[in-house]
Amino acid sequence: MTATRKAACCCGACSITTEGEPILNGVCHCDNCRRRTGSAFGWSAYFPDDRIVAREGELSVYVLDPADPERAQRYFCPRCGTTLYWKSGAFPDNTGVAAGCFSGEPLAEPGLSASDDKRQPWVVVPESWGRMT
Amino acid sequence: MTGAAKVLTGGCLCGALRYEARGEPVNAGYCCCGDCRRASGSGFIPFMGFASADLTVTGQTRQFRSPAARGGEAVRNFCPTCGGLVFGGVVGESESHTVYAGSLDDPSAFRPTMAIFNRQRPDWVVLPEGLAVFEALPGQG
Repeated sequence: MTATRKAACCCGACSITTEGEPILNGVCHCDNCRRRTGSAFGWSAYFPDDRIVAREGELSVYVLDPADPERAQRYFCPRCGTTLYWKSGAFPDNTGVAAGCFSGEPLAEPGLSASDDKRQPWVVVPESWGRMT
Repeated sequence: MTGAAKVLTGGCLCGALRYEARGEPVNAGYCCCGDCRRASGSGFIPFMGFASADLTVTGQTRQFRSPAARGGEAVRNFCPTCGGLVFGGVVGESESHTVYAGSLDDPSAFRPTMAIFNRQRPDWVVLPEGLAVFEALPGQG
């Protein structure tokens, strides 16, 4: 059976609902993901746009590079600050969802460490994961 | 005294919200609570505690309040422009602040010594060796 999952921001005002499994499920250590989350890395699950079946709430958008708006757009809740999903020029027909925001049906654990060359010395990722720089 | 006091700087993704923290943090670690996991959309939040006198914040913040594990409210500050999560507490009111280490200009300077709310840690979040691990908060198990 196809899994339907809902990811919500911290305050619950905004949510996004996905159907099926992500095409990519990994953490990213780049500066951008780090500053966005305040964490060591972002956890991203990318779904094809046509597998996004519902969106609720009014999100603010942050365009990473105004000279190249297609490069990255971050959608965050203006009430609690959680960045819930984003669009990236690297995955034009997909939507990246902040995977730590899913509840209910568990998402598989991530299996990829992206921008691994930017991984902080105090961050350990499982041996079994793929690495990408 | 020899040498300059340690100063850590950092801020949000777009750079509108910035801080300077002076001296060594009073605590530093991984927080794996559900709130930190969801606020960041990540697996945990690396945090550093500073007395309010040792932290200077510049730029506009927007605050989000949620129930705190110790009772009362936890306050998170994020940048209204880019949504970057930067620090906890209310400037001018709180006696201490929690700075989210992912916002550091040089995150390699972060030295975690503890993990809190380990009971909510996702299985795939591997703790660095040598941390003091607390299932909830220190003193609570």
